[in-house]
Amino acid sequence: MARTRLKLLMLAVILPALAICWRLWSFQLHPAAHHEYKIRAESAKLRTLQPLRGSILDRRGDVLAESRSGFDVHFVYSDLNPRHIVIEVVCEELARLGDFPSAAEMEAGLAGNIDIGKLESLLRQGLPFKPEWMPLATWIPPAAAERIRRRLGPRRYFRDHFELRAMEDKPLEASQPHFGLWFRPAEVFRMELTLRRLSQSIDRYDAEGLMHRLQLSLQKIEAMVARDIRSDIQSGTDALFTRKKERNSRRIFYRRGHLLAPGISLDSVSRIEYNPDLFPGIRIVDSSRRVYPHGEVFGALTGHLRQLNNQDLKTLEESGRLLDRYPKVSSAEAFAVLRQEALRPNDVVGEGGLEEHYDLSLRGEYGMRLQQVGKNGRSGKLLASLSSTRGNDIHTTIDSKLQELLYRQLWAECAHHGHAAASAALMEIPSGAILASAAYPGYDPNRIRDASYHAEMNAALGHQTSDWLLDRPRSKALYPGSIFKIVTAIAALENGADWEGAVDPLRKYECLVGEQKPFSMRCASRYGHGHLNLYEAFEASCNNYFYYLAARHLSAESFNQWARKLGCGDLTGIDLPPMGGSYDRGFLKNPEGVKGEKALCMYGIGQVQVQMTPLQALRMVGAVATGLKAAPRPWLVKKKTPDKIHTRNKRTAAIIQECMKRVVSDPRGTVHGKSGLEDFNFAAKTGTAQYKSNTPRYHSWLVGYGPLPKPSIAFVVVCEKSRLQGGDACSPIVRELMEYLAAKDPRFRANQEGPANSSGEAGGERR
Amino acid sequence: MKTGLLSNRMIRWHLAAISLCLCGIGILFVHSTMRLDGEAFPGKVAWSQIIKVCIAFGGFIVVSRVNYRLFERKSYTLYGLVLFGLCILLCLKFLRGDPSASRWFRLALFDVQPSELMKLGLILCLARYLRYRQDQGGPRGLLMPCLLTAVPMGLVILQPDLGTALVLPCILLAMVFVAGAPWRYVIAVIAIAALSIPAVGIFGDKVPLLKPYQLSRITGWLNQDQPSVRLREAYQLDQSKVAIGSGGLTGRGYGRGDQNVLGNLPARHTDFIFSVVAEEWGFLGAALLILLLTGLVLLCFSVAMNTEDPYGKLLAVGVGASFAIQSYQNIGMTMGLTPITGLPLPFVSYGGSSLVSSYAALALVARVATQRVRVLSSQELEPAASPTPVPAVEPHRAKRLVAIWRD
Repeated sequence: MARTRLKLLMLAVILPALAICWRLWSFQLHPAAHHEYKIRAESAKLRTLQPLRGSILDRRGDVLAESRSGFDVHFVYSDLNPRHIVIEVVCEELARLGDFPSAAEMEAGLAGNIDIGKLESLLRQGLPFKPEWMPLATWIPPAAAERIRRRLGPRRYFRDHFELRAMEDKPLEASQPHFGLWFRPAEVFRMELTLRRLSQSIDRYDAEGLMHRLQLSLQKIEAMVARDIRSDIQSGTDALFTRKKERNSRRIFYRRGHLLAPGISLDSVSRIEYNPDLFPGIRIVDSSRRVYPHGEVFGALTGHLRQLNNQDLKTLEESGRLLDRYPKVSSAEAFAVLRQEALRPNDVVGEGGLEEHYDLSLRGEYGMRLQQVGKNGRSGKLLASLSSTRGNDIHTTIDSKLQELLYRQLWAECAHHGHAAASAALMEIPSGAILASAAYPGYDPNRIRDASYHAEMNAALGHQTSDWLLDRPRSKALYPGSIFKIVTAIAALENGADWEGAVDPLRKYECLVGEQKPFSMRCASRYGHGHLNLYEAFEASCNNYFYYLAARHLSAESFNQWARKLGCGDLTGIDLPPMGGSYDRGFLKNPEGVKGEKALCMYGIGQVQVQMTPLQALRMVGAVATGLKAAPRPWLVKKKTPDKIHTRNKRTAAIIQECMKRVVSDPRGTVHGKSGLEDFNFAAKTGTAQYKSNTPRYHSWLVGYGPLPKPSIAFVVVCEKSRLQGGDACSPIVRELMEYLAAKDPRFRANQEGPANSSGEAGGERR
Repeated sequence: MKTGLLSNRMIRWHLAAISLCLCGIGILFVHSTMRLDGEAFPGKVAWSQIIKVCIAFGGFIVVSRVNYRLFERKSYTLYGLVLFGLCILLCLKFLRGDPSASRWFRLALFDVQPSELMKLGLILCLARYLRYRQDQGGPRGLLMPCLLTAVPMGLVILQPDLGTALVLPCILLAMVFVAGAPWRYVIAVIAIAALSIPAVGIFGDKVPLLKPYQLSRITGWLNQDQPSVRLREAYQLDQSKVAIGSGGLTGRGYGRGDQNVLGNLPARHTDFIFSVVAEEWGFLGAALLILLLTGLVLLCFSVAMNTEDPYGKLLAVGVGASFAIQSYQNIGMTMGLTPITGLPLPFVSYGGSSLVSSYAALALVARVATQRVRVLSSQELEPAASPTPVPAVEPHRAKRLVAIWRD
């Protein structure tokens, strides 16, 4: 019987062997299965290579923003602080015996026992540290000591730098001698010493700062560990299993590199790399940083970079332009298609200014490396690669020296006179190229991502202005005040119902002291201007004259028509991202909404019914400078075609130009004699706008163009919430500007062209 | 005694040769899996395995020189000693309050895994118990062997070491079957065992003593083709399948398997060494390995068939069965045929304890094959009618075995 059964048993052995062979066959020799498994085995991970972002340059090639590849310091906690394992195990063993300290408490106690500075100085002098051995924990019962020895004994770090010693006297209640755990401070405080040495090599951080950053990183690691095991805790998995998983997860994070100090100098890198033994657990990692060398001067103009937010990610995902961390492509050609305009979830994009508007062009394209990578980071064959392409450089029309000068001047004026803010912009005529667009307060795009920077700026500027992130020349709409009289005068000359279908510029109106009939409004002049024609009213900026002009000769429609022609209430078209709302458009009241003479009067002097941004004012004055042939559209990188203007009266442009010239050259002009501006050859108009009734603060404007008679440059300067009137507030800034321009182009000097008031065709018409 | 290729005289050489072949393959692939970059053939780990093979083979030679009657007489003692060792290990574990698996005695020079020795101990003990018994037909007769198996099995499960614990009842089943247990019991036991695996998958969380990771292995095995399970519970299995499947007919070349080189395959020098062989040597290499292992098992059984001594027969059956179940379980788990348990592939996987105990078991079989045994019938034991008076043999001793020592 046994023989038969043995034969059956043999059969029972052969059958599974055949089954296994059949299974093996179905895996290895079945073509489809083999193919699938082979592909999976050969599947490589695709690493994307970040492209370097293009630079933003000014007209001379000076850098306004660039990406620099730099170096970051990373730390690997397991290498930096190997004692944490020892302390963890010791605490765990002691905790079993009762109420013993946690690892954190023990660490704190450890650090309290020793002066790291002293330790380090002694080590640097090559002196042996006394005492060489120090106690970490005392009164460890023999059983715990044995367990500690068993668990940590195989670790070389423990064997070399820790020692379990029998204590000479035992506690009264104990029957056996107890143990103490002693350690060598010089090696065990490796982390503290390394950070101190590091702080001496990196100038930006001190040891405490580095330690603080390290602690923050460790907190982040703990948060990530907690996230790893959250699902297990929620599903009520076995506590033992969860604890093991937690420990494993922490161990993995401790073996990875984490950022300690970003953007260190090449000098520091060489110091660290030269002596790697002095910096265990410290790694240098390549990184790229966006640098704005001019800081606040160009902050609002260049914009800055920000992380993609959820909305962006959603949009990108919908349009299929979100690049996975490990995209599933198998060749360089496929990736070349995939990478177009694509971003990765942790990428940055431009926000505000040129960075945002030319983001696609600046961004560059990702490269990739398709390489086999194993579970623990072992790398295998390189299957395909595609290098990243650097983003395009943006060449702007900005003159960085002029911008710098303007910014300093605006800053100085704001500091000196207490303007809440100030901005200035310059444009080439007739092309519309922006030469400078500066504003104070500006922000430093290098620091914009620090939370502390925001708090700092808000604290410093809170009482003046809260919108320091705004690109003021483009987006800060203000009441234009008297500079709007340019529009009023043009509209009156074109549409007025008086002389040849238009207002006679020589017709006089009377300006009296105080409140005046028929409109019950007053002029800004305390004494009244007397009888004035258009030229005199314009140069003295007489409100009463313009009340007459607005209320007697103009309708809301004709105001609106000309204001729109000159660019009010419309986007300037500059190649910067629009802010939306009324920021960039300014404000222009619908003609239907302007009812009654008083409203027209207010329209006439640029109050209430209209708000303009400095760039809109620049467009308006630029149009005057071109002889009302076109309203130039400002641009920074790509040229824009100006909007054509058609005038019915051929003399309108000449009359307005003459008016603006007299503002500077005539002794009654509002700019004449302010900061010596009459020495320069340009035309201008001042404005002083009330933004709140009964407040002795104004928005002070000064717009103009020069040199005469063939203007090449238009400018606008505005001081917000200033105590000074238009000419007084802005003239020092314009003076600096003119000095700069005159140094380049002598035609800006008044004496180059002879006496300014002797030229011009309309001069003789003065009565 | 028969002579020929499969005679018991030749089989011991076959056993040695096959086991050495397996060890050779083992050393090659331990090197392939554990070599450092650019390390020449016997790398550090491969050397350690070579030394272990030498020691184990030395043990094989020594044990095969010892009369197995000695083991027969001391079967219960050996079994008791190993059982005692298991108890001590378990006591230490609970005294220490250590929740993790403790399977080894950590001695000064090497570690000892009592559960590996338990396989041998159980085989010896069961063979001794079952050799002349005629009462396997009833449940009462089977009670004692079952108890003998259940006690160490329980201890091993408590360690916990499910893989080894499952080998023990298989040994019992094979030995009881050969000893003459009725068919219905055998079939019932196999059916219960087959049904228990899906049952554990369904009611797993209600089974006491089953650890979460063990449960996750079983559920992972049951749902091995679901993509979500592939990445979590069945990760090892999935990687192993990829390794095997990518091998093809002739494999990807020694030392050039992607799953091996990139380190995606876990425990690839111990439990999953078969996957590496199948990846790098392909179907041919894997089939060769299966052929060698099956051949080894069949040789053990043919030893059992050739010998007339019931103890030796049962011994060879037990050893053969333990090799068979370990090999098939190990190979089956790499392909998703069986759930994953931590069982080494005999003679191939890296590790000394398994190697030594496997060689010791093989040595016993070799010894059974070589030792000439005659079982005398009762007539032969009657006093022969000889001129010289022969002392009368007591009737109750008449069935006693008489062995003739050959060497």
